Amino acid sequence: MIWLLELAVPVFSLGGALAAIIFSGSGGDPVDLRYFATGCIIGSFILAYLAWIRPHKDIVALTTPIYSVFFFVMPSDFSVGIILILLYAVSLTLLLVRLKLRFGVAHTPENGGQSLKEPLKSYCETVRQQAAGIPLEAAHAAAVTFARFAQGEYREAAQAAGAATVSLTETNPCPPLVTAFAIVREQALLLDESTDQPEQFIEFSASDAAVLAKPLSPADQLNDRFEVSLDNALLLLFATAWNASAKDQPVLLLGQSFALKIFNP
Amino acid sequence: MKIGNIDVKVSYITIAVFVIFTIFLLSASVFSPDVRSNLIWLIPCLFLLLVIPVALNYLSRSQYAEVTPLYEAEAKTVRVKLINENMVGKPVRIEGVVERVHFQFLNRPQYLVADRSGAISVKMFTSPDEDVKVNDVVEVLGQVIRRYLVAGEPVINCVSIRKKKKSND
Repeated sequence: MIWLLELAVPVFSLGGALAAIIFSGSGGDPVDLRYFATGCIIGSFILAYLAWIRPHKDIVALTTPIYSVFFFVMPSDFSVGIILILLYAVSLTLLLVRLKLRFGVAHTPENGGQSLKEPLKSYCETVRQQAAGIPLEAAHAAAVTFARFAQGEYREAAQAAGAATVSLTETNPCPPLVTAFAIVREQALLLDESTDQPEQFIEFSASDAAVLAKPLSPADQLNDRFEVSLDNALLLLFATAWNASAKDQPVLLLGQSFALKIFNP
Repeated sequence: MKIGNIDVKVSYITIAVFVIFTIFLLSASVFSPDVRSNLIWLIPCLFLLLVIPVALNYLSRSQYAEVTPLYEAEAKTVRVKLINENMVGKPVRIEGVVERVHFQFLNRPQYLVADRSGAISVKMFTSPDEDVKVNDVVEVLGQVIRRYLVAGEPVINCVSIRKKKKSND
């Protein structure tokens, strides 16, 4: 899809310029060359879209639609000629080459499924084995809980985590995951009610450390323990859902920036 | 200056513009008879440079005063680290220390507020109720927005910023 759009930029713009050359030299009634400039306008919009979907934005490519409207649509003192159309089409093609060389690969929903970034990617690999035995429903609940929490819908996150905790306790395939749900539920309820950090709260045990993203904080650092518990719980839910529920990966990718933020504050 | 219950603040830039144009007008009226004959409408225009920003400030501050109780009721108290782009549009409350203050002279202050978990930019599109300085501990009420409306990292569109205690001078 992307390569088709990339191809469309020179095809539309240079095609329009070529058509302008052919029709202006064919004799007969004079033709308004603005019609052929439509190719340049379409090419500009496609180029701007290609610039928009890249992780690093190219401001020059993004503004080409504005220039195309200025040059070819808005009434002005100068007339639209073949030279202008040709130069504009060549410029668009050069900008496309520059975009591809200097502004990275386009990030689209189609290739987004494989675009987990480090260190989240490595962490998901680490817990892949533990996530293998997780029921699909629990993995889906993990994705829903993470997504709701990321959106600031703390009550819904607590409800999803509570329901998952009940269902998982019966089978208990992964004890740290049950703890993760319980931690997220507890802290989501506290956030929903804007309540201060309590003295007693649910935490991971030392035996869970192998599947946790961050090391457990020392016992005397209460605030750190509280925050790291939530970070580890959310990241474990993310990794579990990523590994055990492929259909939830697009939703998880939307929350990837949040997961990365809590991984590396 | 107080209009009704609203404490209207005139920015330094507004005063500077007014002063500069007053000097221009005085100088021009001394040297040019044409300017002197037009003083009857030039002087009101000059005062409009002061009146329009004051009126706009009054309007924005009265609107902010109206919505603040709504935010107080709905906003959830969150740690800075939990604010992310998925929360765009959500009302939030944060508590932290002011690390930087910019653009106060424009009546459009921007603060960098930090708590234990991180720091976030807090933008205010009118003058705050209180004079907030670096190192003040504040409570911020606002809405999560993107820095450039449709792009950029999440920041807080501040509705209210209040000092929680005196800064450590």
